[in-house]
Amino acid sequence: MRRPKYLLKFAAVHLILALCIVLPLGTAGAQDPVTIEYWNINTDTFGGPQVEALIASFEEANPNINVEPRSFSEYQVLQQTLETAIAGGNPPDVVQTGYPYLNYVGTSLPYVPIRELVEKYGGEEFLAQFPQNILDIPVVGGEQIGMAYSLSVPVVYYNADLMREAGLDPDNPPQTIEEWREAGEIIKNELGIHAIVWGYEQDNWTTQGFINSAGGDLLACVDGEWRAVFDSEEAINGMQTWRDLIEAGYSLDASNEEARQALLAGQTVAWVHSIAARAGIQRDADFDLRATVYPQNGDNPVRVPGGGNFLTIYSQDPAKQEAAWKFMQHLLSPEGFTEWTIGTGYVPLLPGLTEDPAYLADFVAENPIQQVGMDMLEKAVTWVSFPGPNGLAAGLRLHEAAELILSGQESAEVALQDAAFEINDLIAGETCSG
Amino acid sequence: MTAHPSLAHRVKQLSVAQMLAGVGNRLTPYLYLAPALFFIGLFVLWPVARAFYNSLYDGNLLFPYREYVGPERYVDLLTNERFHQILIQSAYYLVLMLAGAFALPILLAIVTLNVTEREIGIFQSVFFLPTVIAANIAVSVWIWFYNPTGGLFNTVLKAFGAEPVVWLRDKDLVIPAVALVAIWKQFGFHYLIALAGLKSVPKDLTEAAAVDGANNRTITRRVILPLFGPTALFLLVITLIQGLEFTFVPIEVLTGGGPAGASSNLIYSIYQEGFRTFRVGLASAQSVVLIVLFGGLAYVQYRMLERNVQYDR
Repeated sequence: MRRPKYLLKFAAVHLILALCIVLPLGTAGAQDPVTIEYWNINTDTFGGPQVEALIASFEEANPNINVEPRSFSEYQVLQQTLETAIAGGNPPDVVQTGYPYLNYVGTSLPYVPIRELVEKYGGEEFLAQFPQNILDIPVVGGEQIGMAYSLSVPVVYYNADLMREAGLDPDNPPQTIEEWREAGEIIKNELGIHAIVWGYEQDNWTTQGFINSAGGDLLACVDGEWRAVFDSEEAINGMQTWRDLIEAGYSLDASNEEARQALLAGQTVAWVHSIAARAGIQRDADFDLRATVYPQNGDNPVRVPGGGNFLTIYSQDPAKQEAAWKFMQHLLSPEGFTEWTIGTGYVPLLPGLTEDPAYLADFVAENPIQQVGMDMLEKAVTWVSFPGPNGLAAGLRLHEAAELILSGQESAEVALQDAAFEINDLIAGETCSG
Repeated sequence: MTAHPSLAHRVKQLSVAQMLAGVGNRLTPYLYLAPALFFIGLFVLWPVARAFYNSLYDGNLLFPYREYVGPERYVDLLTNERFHQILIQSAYYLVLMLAGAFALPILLAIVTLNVTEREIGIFQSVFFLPTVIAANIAVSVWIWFYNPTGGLFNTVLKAFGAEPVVWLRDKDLVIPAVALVAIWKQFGFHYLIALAGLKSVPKDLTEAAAVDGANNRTITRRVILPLFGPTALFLLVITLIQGLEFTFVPIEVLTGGGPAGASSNLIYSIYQEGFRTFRVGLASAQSVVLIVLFGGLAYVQYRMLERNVQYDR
């Protein structure tokens, strides 16, 4: 009769002993290193080394967090891989996303809102460093879905040697479309090459710059719904200006890569492209490379889309979420922006860094091309992201219209009117305020 | 007179045994086929069924069944001018692929059939080289060829005093330009198959025909080509069925489907809708149309060509 009691005591002692062994292990488990994935579009020639450096400095300061970067050649590839990963239940933790995907991510993907991250892990002081307009960039439907990270503006990179050879003054480059047209005639006659080339891609960044700088817009809020309005007279004039430059032989219907090759091979005097590519172009150019401002079209003020990307967190595991939030704060720190700007050309989003000798003041003073980018910032407007689940298809339709116009297959009027009609069908019912 | 009970019982037993044996015999082939059928079901039939199901809804990869659209999806698709254009362009690609990756390799194989072993080795190496290069890298080389300012083709044109051509942004030139790359990539593989098929024709038959007085042309037409039938059928099928697939990488790398969709085809359009604009329902509906079209094409091919193909040698 005593035996069961003895057994009970024996079991209880063992249970307590076991708990004594297991509980500390559990505590130790919580301190185990956390590994997070950082997906970006920074290849070896475009910010890759800076990503490595930023990860190294973060890991040094946070020895329990390991960051694994994964680089993609372009936003599109990253985005489709991201969807597959999320669908497979294995999302990355921190992701760089191009602004054209902003609305799509905000309405279709399971991101962790910044509000939730601050509630769980703090970060009010970190957010307080940023101007409200920067915090508002990645806001969709009233929710801040991430943090604006990279911001770029288009500048005109030009080959001063060729300009001199054509008899033009490289210290006073053209500042307007009209002046580029005049220079184009001289360059064509003297050198037999193009004067200025805008490369364009499916993201509509260049197309929007032409439309906005001619006084037109892509979208407007009409009676509480988004409407495509790039079939306006101003927008049509803007696109027709671009086509006319190509038709006259002053410019070229080209992709960004083709335009880049044309500049580097001396087939064009100037290339209009993102300040974010500054470091790469400086490295590859074997001529006197300079930059000037985006050309003004008529009396219209220059308005160009701010390019770049924002960071979003997708981690569902709390430990990873916290680590991802810490990593994001490191990327967006003064040190992070300094490394990022020097290595790429992106404009830092924290105020005062370019005037602070501890950070970017010396660099900007010694780098006039970067200064042109800084000067262009005040001309930047929001890069349009078409709303709703058909938003990406809408963006593709606008790109196709640009292709039709620039290849001379259709007039700007017909192509833009047709595209606006189709896009309004695709985004019908997408509400807005204002 | 009734049968002896034990005999009737034995007959009954025998017939049950025979019946079971018959059932067993009938089931045996299916048992052998079961593993293959299982994998075909899992990797072919089930995805096709899911594609059809997905096509009835609007949504993306994460939420494929957000909104029911129903059969109207197919009405919209089949009456859509843009989709008609995609189908026409797909047919154009196939015609070019048939000319360049089916007829031309066979023609060249016939021409080079009687050259020496050393020379044939050179031909094989030269033509097969593009096949072994990774598609992305191989196609990237052509970006330089087609470059509008300093590209190879325009440099040659300039040397002859001609105006440069914007190869990949001219809607009339872009499909031949893209198809040329796909043909270049596929040509060597098809040439080797054609050559192997021609060489496998027994020599005694051609020698017998020669002894009977047939000239080279007659031997080729009356002896070699009929026996080459199965190889030609194989090449025809893979060129037609996979022709659009062969053009996928060149389209993606060179044009992205542009200008304004002028170089797209059915397979690229499915990719673009499914993985670029994330409209899974529309992409699935296009996939179903692709399956129906190419399934029908394959069936017609087999029915029409099988009759004319000589398998026995």
